Amino acid sequence: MMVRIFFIYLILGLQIFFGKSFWLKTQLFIYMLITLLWFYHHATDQLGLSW
Amino acid sequence: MDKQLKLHAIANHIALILISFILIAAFYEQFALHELPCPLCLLQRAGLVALGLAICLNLRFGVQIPHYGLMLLASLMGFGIATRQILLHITPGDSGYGSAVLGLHLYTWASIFFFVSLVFVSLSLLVDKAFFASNNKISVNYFSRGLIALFLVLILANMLGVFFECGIGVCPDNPIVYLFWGSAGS
Repeated sequence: MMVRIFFIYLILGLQIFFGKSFWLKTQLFIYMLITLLWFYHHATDQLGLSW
Repeated sequence: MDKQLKLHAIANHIALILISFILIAAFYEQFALHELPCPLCLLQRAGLVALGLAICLNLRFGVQIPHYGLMLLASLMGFGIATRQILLHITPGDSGYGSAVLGLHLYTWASIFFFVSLVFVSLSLLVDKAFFASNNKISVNYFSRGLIALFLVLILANMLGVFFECGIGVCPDNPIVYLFWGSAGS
């Protein structure tokens, strides 16, 4: 899952580098939410809790 | 360039250099000292990447308040993740995860860094004339582009590093070997 998270950040970074503007701020916000969701999943998994 | 805009430009460049240095230092810990990053360590790296990308938005598209808002959110996210790792190892007798640098573990340093970045981003929002200038663009020269390119290379390196450590699945809580190499490289 972390591979996928770094991949989407890389794609966003490439968009920024080449100056393409496709709702970049929204993309970054959503990707941070995805990262947070994965963190929450990992944390609850460690505690033996379910979703 | 307006004085305040220049200040934003310098601060953003320094911040991106610092984040790149931290990511490189993390790779040094991983490959030279053979300390594989745990899932929470990787999430902290992701927090640094998110913070760095928000800085890249400033460098590429001009200083804007929403970019600083994203920096605050990324810093909060990283701070939360690092603090969780501190709390996991805070009980007496727990030696913590990984080796300490100058007496503190890397996740403690990460927590401090994210907290300090929260303060600096908040202070940056006080320097507000640059946001309303007719031209809020930071001149994107070869140095800026090179810095952003280096940062992208570090994101790619992190992605490849995680792939070799865990594949596309879930990383183990206490990784000691690479999935594809069967050793920590020592």
